[in-house]
Amino acid sequence: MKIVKIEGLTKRFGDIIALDNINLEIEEGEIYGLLGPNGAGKTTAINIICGLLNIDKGKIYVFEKEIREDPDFIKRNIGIVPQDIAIYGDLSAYENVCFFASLYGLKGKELKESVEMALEFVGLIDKAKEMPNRFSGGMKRRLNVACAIAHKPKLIIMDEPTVGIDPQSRNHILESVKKLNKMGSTIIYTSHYMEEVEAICTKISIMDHGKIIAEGTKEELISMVTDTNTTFITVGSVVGIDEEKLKEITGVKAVEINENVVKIISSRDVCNLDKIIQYFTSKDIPIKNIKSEIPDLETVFLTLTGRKLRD
Amino acid sequence: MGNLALLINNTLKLFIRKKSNVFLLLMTIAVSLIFLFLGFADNSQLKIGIVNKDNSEISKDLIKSLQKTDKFKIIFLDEKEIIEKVSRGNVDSAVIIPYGFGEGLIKNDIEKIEIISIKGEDVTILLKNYLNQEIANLLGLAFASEGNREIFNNMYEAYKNYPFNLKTELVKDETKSILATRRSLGFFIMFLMVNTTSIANLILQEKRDKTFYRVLASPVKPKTYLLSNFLLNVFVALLQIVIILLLLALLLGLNLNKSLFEIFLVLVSFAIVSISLSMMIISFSPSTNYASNLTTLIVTPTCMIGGVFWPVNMMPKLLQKLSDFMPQKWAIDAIDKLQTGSGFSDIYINIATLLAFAGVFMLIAIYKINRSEKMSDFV
Ligand SMILES: Nc1ncnc2c1ncn2[C@@H]1O[C@H](COP(=O)(O)OP(=O)(O)O)[C@@H](O)[C@H]1O
Ligand SMILES: [Mg+2]
Repeated sequence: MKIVKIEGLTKRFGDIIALDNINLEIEEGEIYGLLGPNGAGKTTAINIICGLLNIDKGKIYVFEKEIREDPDFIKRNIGIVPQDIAIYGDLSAYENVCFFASLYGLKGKELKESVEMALEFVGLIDKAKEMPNRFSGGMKRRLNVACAIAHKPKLIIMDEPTVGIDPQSRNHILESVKKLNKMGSTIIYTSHYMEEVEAICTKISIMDHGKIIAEGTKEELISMVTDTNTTFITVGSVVGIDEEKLKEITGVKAVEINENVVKIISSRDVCNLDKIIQYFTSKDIPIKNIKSEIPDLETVFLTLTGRKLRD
Repeated sequence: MGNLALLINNTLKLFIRKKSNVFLLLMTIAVSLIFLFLGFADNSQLKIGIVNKDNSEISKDLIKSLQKTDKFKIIFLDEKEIIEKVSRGNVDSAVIIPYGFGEGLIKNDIEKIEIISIKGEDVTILLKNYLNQEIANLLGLAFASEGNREIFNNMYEAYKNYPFNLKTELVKDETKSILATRRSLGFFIMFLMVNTTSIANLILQEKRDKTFYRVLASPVKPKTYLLSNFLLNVFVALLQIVIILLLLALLLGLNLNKSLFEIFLVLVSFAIVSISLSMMIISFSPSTNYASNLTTLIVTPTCMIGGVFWPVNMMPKLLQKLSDFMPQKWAIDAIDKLQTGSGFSDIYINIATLLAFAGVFMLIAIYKINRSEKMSDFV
């Protein structure tokens, strides 16, 4: 079953085109990644799938139903983890999950059990009676997840659920995504962290400026760009390196400077290593190390857009 | 229906978990009661200037009975002095007993007593009330004697010697309670306006905290959510009204009881105005702070002009005209009327006006909320 199907979706906010003719299909059972920098349109797409925004053009089917046909049914079967933490600071963790789950029709014993399960799942059962006002960022994020899963939705949407948290809480959340998927939920996971999407997603769309610029499994996406070579050049100091000049060298597609490592992506069929080395020596920049590497999604994005995922 | 109850319950929880909200509710009742007691503690004498053109025995007795109460200090005036003495504040108000008053009374056809004051209801209500009570009794005698002077005189003698200090006390207390009640309910009304906004403001708080987003992502319609806030507001307002009226009834006894239900209706109508106004305020406010500030900015001046702190007729003519556009005026006016013996038929206009205010505010709020595209204001 196609859990989500989007055809020719366009969404404007005044002059801003937030989504530009998007097409997308998500199969049941997938962990579907939406990867893209801030402002790419990920949250807008999700708000539309959840029926929270009107659209300008296009057709959206969720659970194979047109979205306006039965919005109640669709909403009932979606659990959303919003990008911004959306919990009541003055209600206990238990009361938070309980309230939201009850809005989905859970009652009595079933409600109580589901709430406890959700809290157990995110590792907050010991804190059930405590007020989130006193929680750490990571705990708030985990409660944010718990509020979305207690009603056992078929589709769980997580919009950047790991922003601004410690590595431990992040791993906890990534593990729980995989577990939820194993338990039968389809997942949409948005992020601008390439590593996260690479680690858990079975299928990935790369978004930029309201468009989907590439789609496929991790391997498929990388093979799209394996007509490139990535060269890492470690130097003593990056002072004096002009990215634009490097890009002028034949075959160079993109350049990224990170501390004292210069990452250069070039077409594979062009031999330009000598010219690159020559650039550094001409500038009197001593090269400490040269290394080539298999491309990752970061490389894919960089190749496709000429920009880094995170600025 | 199920969701509506869940939402009301949750909003109530959010409201009472914040200590300042509970404190404000308690303050509402406490301050209203404090003003009630202050009204009773006020034992100052009113200086009444009297011009007696009649000089009959009845009018002399009437003045004597005014003197007997410790509420009034009587100063006899010449008609020419009245305006000067009243405007200078040498007397709080002046009473002119017209020529032939006593004679007319026996014939059951009285000349109207004129009361002149620039200090407004607070002063005259006490005087009017007392005179009305006294004259009503005398008219009763006149009616019973069917215009027969001899019978009237006999009955009048008996009436004068009747130990009716009790009745005077009652009238005095009643007048005091009328003034105290009006002041107390005036402050209650003002606090009510602040309280309804703090409940409506929970909508903005939920938008800010994004829980509103999560609620809308669930199978809850925006309409249902707004309705739940409105209903909770009505419920909390009702609670406050019932408590304050029960307390007033307990403390004042029968005096208030006779119009208790009508006063309840007036306060409920006003509460609905206040809730609608709060909804309108939040529909225009980008943040909770903005809404609170806007409320303060609206409540205080409108209460001043609307006659909450002092009687409307003490203000300049222009402001008196302006007061017609303040819902508070219509509520206070109705309470005054009810307390001085009017019934529902005299105040239904006030209630209709209040409901019209509520309707207008509500329509503006709904229009404004509908215009903002579904979520774009909140995401
Ligand atoms: N409510 C809104 N009003 C106006 N512009 C918006 C609104 N929401 C999003 N946008 C714009 O739409 C674009 C996509 O935003 P968003 O979907 O939040 O991106 P992402 O989630 O990928 O960071 C951005 O340019 C953003 O400024
Ligand atoms: Mg986003």
